[in-house]
Amino acid sequence: MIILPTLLFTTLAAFMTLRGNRKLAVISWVFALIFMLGAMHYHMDDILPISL
Amino acid sequence: MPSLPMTTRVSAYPSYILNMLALAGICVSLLVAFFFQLVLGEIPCPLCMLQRVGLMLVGLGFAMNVRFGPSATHYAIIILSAITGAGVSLRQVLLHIAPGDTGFGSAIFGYHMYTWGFIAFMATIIFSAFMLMVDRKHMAGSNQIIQTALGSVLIGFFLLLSLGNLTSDVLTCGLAPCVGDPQTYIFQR
Repeated sequence: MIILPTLLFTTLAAFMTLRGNRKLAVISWVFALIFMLGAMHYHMDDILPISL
Repeated sequence: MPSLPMTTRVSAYPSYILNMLALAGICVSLLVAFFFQLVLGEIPCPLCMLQRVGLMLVGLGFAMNVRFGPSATHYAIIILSAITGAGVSLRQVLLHIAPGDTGFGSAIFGYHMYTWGFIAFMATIIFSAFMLMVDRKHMAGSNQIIQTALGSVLIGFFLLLSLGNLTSDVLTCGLAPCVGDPQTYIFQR
């Protein structure tokens, strides 16, 4: 569920690229990236085994 | 002398070929990930799936270069996506960097897939920097649409792989947050 939105927008962007709609493709990429950053924030919370 | 049609002129330009090859490379990487998932039975973890998304976001930039011509915006998309994907890869490398840790999943030529992912994202950034120099006089950034059969087939295949990853995520996690180390699909639970 957390990763699903970014995959949806990525697929939409690929479809818009294939259709030749550059503006919608770029907008979909922006939303995909934003949702990916959200998913990263949610999933990258493990404690590392080393000290940084 | 009559001017060549748009498709002929663009197809002959090295940038078009290089971007097509880069997009093909992304498709091959996603296919390898599917091979590990479907043939070897290694269900992707959330970080693995995020790295696949990173690869797809990078692939989008290459696909836009193929479809709309090279543009600084498209290369920015590639670089920003690669930095994001590399962040996930590096995080997973650091999770398994301690002595005695055998890593997550199978290794290919001695490196785990997240290590290859980090190398691929770094190579993508270097490639984009190189292409920005190659394309400096040919930046389109316009509303042109380049229609070639090979380009359309490649972007169509990339779209299919995106749909495959979308389906895979739904079958792995359903509508709940993905678990750290999934062992089964939702229909096997």
